[in-house]
Amino acid sequence: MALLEVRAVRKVFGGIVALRDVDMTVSEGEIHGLIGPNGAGKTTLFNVLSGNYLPASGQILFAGRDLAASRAHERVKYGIARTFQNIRLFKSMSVADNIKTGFHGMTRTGWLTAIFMPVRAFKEERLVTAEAAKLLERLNLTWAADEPAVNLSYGDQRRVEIARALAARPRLLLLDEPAAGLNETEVGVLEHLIRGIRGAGITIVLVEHDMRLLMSVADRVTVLAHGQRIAQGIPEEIRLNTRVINEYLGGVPA
Amino acid sequence: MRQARTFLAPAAALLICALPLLIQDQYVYHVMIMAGIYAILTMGLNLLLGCAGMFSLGHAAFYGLGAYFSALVTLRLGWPFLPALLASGLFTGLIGGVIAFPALRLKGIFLAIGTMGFNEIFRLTAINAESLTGGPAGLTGIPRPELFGYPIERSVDFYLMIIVLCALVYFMFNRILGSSPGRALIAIRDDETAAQSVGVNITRFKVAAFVFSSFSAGLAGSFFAHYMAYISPDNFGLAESFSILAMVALGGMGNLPGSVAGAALLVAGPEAFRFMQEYRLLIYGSSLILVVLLLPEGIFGWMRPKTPAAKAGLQRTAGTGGG
Repeated sequence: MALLEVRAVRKVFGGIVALRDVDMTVSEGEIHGLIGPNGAGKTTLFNVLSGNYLPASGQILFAGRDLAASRAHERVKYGIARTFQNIRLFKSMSVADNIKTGFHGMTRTGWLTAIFMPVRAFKEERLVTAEAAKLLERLNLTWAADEPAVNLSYGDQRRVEIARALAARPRLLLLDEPAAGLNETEVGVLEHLIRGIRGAGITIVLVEHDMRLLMSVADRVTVLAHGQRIAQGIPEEIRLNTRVINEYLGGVPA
Repeated sequence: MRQARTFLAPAAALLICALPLLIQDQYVYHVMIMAGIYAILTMGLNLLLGCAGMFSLGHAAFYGLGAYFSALVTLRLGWPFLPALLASGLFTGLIGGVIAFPALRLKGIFLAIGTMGFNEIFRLTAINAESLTGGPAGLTGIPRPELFGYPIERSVDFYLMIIVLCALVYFMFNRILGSSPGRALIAIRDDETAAQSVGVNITRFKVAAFVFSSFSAGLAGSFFAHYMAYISPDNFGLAESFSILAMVALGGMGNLPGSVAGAALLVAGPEAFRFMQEYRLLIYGSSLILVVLLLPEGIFGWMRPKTPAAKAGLQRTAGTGGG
């Protein structure tokens, strides 16, 4: 069953059509790769999916509901969480606080509750702290809990960002070039993590330039070029698709 | 460092409460009462600037709004003090919420200029709307507060009252900052896009920060009006806004106890240098520059351990290490 259905989404910046009526279908529980040359519109499509951009036209059906007009902070509540190409952690916060902030959508403490019902707020805070600790443990990041997030290595910062996105308990996780800037060992850890997340029943859309990683974890792949979808299929088909080879992969198909 | 932190706060609180037993001097009380008023103002601006990252230079206008509102409802409508105090806070908070909407379109230094403009509009309105505000001469004869039939007249009474008010405001901001709304504000300051990605409604939180910040400024204004019994537009000019800004910077951005200390230092400090006459402002200004240059995280910046080594030490004492 399709969890996410992108229908004829168009995005225009000034005179430039960044997305030209793009379609994409993501099934529940799959890892869906999104590739294409630089400037193909991958990140634009990502930002449209996460609500950071509103599309000029088209539909984004998520679990049967059209989210095209909803805003970024609302998408989280519907079950879409994301990470960023250039890691965006909260710089002044510790790792644990970054994760706790990820639980924002779950918390019910408002301004007045915090003041007039401090006991309730305190209980919720304790719950969030415990949940954050669990998440850190699952990602083997417990040692870093009190460390300022910016002090961590690039690979660990990536994982903190993924953990923060997971804290929102998403049904769909959007990963924007998670392997960028990672060394081989870190990519191995990341691959394991991505498979683990899927194993927990979370659907993933993955933008990635590291073809070895992408082709090995993705169940299906959508290829964009010049703001259009030029192919969609399982990795084996994509690897042999002449148009994809000409536009993006290049060289002799493996 | 952890120990320093745990003992410092209760010790300071105890000292503040015990002062009436030690001090008889009216002038010292006046300075401390003013420090209390500025502590409330500073905590309020700290929420906006230190926590949410919104650069407001109009805080004195909200202070003034609370003062004029409270003075008018007691003078003209004969309201008793406590309802007037609460209503001033609520009224000012409401105006803060209204101001927030246009202000949200501005960022950084432009927000500072916009709020500065608001401060001037308020001051000029207070000067020119003579029938309501008494014009440049201000409002006189504002009744002294009365609490449950007990008139507040002596300096000690005002002192104890401002301590209670300060404690309440401190508690309010402490609770906000210690739960999820506070984290969301810091998230907005650090990175708006990332804050949105975890579900923070940025508009709502910024407006709320404005409302709570101006609410507390309104309380401070009301107390000031009834303490001085006389207010004029000069009390709420841009210079006041800049003073409060300096107090936030001195105490450290986002540091609540620091805000209180910053206010106390900047109110009491110039008094201590009074024997130097005109030179005291020179000292005041240059020491402020030195603090900002040498202690960018404020006077309490050293309390937050930054190095991993200090962290590790902390973890050992707190017994929450892990691997």
